[in-house]
Amino acid sequence: MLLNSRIIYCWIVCMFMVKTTFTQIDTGFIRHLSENQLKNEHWTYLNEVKIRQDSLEYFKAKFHLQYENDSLFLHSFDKSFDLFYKDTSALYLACLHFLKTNSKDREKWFGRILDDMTVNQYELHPIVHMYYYSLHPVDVDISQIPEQLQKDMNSYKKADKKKPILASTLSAIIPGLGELYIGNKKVFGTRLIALGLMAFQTVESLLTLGFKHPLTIIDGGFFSAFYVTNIVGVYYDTKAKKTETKNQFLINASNYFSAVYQYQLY
Amino acid sequence: MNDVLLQEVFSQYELPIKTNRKLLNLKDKKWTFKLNPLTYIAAGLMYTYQNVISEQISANCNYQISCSEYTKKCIEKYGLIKGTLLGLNQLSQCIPNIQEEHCEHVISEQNKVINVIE
Amino acid sequence: MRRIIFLLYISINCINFVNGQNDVESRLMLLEKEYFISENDTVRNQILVSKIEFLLIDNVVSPRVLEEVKRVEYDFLEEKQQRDFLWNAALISYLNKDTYYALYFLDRYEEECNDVSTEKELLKLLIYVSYDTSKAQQIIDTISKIDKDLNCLNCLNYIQNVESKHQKFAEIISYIIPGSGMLLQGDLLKGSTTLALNTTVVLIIRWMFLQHQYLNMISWGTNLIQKFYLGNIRLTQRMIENKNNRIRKKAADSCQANLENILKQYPLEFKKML
Repeated sequence: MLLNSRIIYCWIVCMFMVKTTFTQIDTGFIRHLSENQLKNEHWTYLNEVKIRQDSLEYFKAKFHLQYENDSLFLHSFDKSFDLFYKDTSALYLACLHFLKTNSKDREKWFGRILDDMTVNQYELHPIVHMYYYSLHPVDVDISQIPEQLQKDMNSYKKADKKKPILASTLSAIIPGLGELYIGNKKVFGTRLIALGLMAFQTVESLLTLGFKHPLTIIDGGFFSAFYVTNIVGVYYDTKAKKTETKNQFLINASNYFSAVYQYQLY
Repeated sequence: MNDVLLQEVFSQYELPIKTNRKLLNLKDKKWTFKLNPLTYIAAGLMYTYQNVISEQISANCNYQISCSEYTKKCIEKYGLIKGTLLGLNQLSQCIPNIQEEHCEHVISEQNKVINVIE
Repeated sequence: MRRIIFLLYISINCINFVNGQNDVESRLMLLEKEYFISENDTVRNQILVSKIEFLLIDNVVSPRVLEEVKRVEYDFLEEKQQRDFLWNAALISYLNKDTYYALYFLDRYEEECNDVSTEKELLKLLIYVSYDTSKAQQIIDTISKIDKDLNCLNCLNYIQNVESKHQKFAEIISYIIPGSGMLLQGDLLKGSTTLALNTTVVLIIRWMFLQHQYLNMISWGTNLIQKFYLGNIRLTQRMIENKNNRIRKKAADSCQANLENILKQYPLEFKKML
């Protein structure tokens, strides 16, 4: 009887060991799945493996990072940030990814990273610095930025300094001048010629056909509509130019640092 | 298996499905927008332009969302005045080689400027 | 004692079952794990073949199967298995619209075995027909000698070359009289609209000239005439293209019935690799 109960005990222990060794996560296998981009197998493995919840979320976050599912990545990251912070290459790969993501998730991600790093008094990594610079381009010392990115930073700084109201005022004085102020030379030329021609043809029909003639009304209507558009449009163009140059700087920064650091996810 | 093969061989000859452009999207709009007669006049003019005139002129827009479609969407989103002004603003910028004045990342593979209605 | 051991075994299996070990994805994942653990190339390629076989159960050829096919080093497979794999690989690549890989695998298949079957020629024809009509014609001529019924496959080449009548003339005439090209092709509504719009523009410009509105004339004239005149040519070209597409669709529908009958006689099926 004693012998029997011992055997049963041994069996249970053996089975337990088999079960635990089977469910231990195999990072080598995960690396293999990631390198071969076996998305389905990778996800199935993560769903079947039995490990601590935060570790599981850490691996899921890395999975979503690889397959660029931003919202799910942020969800898993929230549940495993302690582990994620320890894995610096994954952390900076996520930073590189979000640098070129033009969405609200970028602000959410870097807002969190900047907060955590300031609270813990960590030194900011150059990649995070780039995002920080993009928030305050006026204060940036251009010599601190890698040579390859200086051109983009300069155009962003230039676009950031432009004032939408001033651009609109300039366009009101001379049609298209506001576009020249923000750097759109072609649009300036086109608007100046088109509005000039519209003004002259309105005057021509006004002088020869009179005020109430349909052609004068059509010409005048077109001129007024495009004149107002030229003033209001440049206001929005100035803002759009700022966002566009900012995103271009961040995308180029992301590409540059990806080539420099060559971080691996696993 | 035969069906799969036949589908593969002859799918390239399928005629493209015609997408009918909607006159106006009134969903989730304020009552002022719905009751404004000018909204309907502008939308009607735009609809006629898109379905009759647009194909008659050699319209080759440099923007991913064509000028008329952009104007219509802007009117839906911002109302008649701001929407029309934004649409006309794009139209007056729709000139040859405008891509050169935009950053690399807003140019699509078809060499069109990617414009987003924010 | 035996009972207890048996119960333990059953319970562990039950846990595995509940965890979804038995579903398709789990089995594929376990096969991949075996592939990862194994260090023998022959075994590894056998596992990949099993994965492909498993994915092809319902004849659903997804891009995922093609990715698995590309991973296989077929030199490590046995002779027969290699032949079957190359055939399947060509078929999978073709169904995934990857003509380059389809031809590559079919060439290797031809090198590996001296297959002179009509099925092989039929697959080759289907791959070639979309981009090399002369080669496709050669294949049709060859297989027509074996079976005269296969002569009807000429329709596959015919679809590629079919076009509407007088299309060149319609294009040229649209340069001379706007809208006439469309009228000739049978679209009365569009043709007359174009003609009316172009005439109106010319009349407006003429009226401006008579009213001495020279600036208006230059400005409106250059804009409107250029847009409407060039628009007419582009619309005519687009109309001819649409008409050609409709004719091709009609030809394709009748050809589909021919090919369906041929495929019943010479079915292109996946071969069992295991």
